[in-house]
Amino acid sequence: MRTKIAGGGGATAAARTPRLIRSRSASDRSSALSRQRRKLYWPFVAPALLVYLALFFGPALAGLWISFQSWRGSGDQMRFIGAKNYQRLWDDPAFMTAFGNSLKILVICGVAIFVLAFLISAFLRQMRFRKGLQALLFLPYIISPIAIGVGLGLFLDPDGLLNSGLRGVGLSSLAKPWLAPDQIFTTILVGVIWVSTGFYVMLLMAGADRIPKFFYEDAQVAGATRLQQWRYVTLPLSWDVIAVAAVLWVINSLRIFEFVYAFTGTAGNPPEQVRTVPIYQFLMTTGGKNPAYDMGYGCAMGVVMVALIVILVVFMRRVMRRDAVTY
Amino acid sequence: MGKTLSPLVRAFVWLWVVSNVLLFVWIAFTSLKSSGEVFGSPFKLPASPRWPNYESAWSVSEMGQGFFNSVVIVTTASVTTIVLAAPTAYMLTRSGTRTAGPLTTFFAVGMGIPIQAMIVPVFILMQKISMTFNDAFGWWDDRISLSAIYVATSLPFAIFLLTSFFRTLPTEIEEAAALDGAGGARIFAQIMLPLAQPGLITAFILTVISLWNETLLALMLITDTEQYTLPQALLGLYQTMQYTSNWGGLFAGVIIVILPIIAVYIWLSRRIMEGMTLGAGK
Repeated sequence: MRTKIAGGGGATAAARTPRLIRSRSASDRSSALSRQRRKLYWPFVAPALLVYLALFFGPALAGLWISFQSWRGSGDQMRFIGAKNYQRLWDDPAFMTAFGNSLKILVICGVAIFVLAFLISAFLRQMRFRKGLQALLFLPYIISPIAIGVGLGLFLDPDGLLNSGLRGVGLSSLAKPWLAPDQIFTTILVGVIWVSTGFYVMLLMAGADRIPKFFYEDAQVAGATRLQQWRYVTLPLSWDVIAVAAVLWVINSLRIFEFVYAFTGTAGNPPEQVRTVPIYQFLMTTGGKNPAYDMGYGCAMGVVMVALIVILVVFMRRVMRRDAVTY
Repeated sequence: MGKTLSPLVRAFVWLWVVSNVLLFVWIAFTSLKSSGEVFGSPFKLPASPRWPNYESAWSVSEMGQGFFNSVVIVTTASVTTIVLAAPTAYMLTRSGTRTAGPLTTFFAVGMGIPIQAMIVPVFILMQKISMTFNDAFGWWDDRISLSAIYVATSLPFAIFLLTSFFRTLPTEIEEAAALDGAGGARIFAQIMLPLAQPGLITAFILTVISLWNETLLALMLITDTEQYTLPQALLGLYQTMQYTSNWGGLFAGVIIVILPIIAVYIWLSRRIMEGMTLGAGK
């Protein structure tokens, strides 16, 4: 601890009075080190910062600017139209459907995933082969969504494995055209839940793993059931991890593109009733059968997504704020 | 309630995990079947494994070219990401400079910004770069554009992960080395980098996995089929399937896409899971 304080103190002191420090450097061993580090600070940080600014943050700001323009991309004259693109989003039923779909994924899948993840993580701890089960639950999350979409395409085909299986065991009433237009969005919701739950199980387990064992031993001595242990020990003590997991879900769910695209994008454009905001943006800019190259409009969608994420994250941080439980 | 719930949840978890395994086994078997078998006997093992499915996916459908493109793009981008992120993360945690805190936050903000926010300007920018180079040298390769964007989009998480990692390393060794007269760059290269190796590998693997699966940016930036990444090639194969009905070949394509990731996962699953949950523990 002492050395750490000395290092920090040396750093600030050196910034103000380098000469003074130099004359004392023999006695202050970490000041030489922090001076070395300071000299290299910008050479070490600048390359990443430049790439990040030029190819990530800069374009994001440019996107904000372009969202106020009418523009069809390079070669077209940019025209400032104020908030008209946003007005158009509001009046565009196709965008509203896409926006609604994104919110449905966020809320419906979100509730299902967290209920499942809570249940599973509460009991998985005491199960045999816990690590293996956890690893296999998580596996779909890191597999290419395109590959999963293609695989599920045949699995859910009207004559695919699922339906022939259901017919085979005499449950043909349950067999459905899973990928038919009025059924496919529900199928996608279930698919998203299936793919994502393992990741959130893992997050919640990682949070619970940090809780010292004696809390559970105490609870057991007091006669708490497993569910009560979860309610009165696990839940409050891993609350901060749960809050982070919820924020991650907001961010991850709103950018779902590949999974839906693989299900629907191969036979022309994905139908309107399954589009999410990223898919609609893709179709309105450079993607699909006949790209619309409506760049200003597409940028407005990107801005709306960021705004939505910011609002939801701020809102959730407020709602989920608790007095920190320290242990 | 816990008494009745427990066996239910246990059974449910087992059912879920077994279905996951069976789904992958089914994909593997389907990839070795003839098209007739795929629908005719969906539950049976392939009569005799049809390895030509893989041959056709690999060479006729250009999954091989896609595999090569993906390996080159993903490796280049991931290595560059770590090379840029490691010194940055080290300085952000250790320099004690006034800008370090705000810069750490600034990089972390990138994890919350979806690529949809910057995808259109990036597309325009890359179009401009490609045109400029084509005019000046008569040559440009969109795979370079894609790799560069991959680096930019991977940096926030890599820096975040590595700053958390560098924070856990002891400061005493550095101080001792400084006392022995080692310079800052030498301390970083010869002492800190070897110490940080587990963190660097985790960051590298996680970057590789996410880039291997990335499709949206590739769809936007790469138009030449010769330059398609692996997921793009698989989508292309899926599209032609509508005419050829070569299901076995398509599933061979699926296996070609997922097998490398599954192999890495079997090898390093603990590290991958720990790395991906690191963000939530802070």
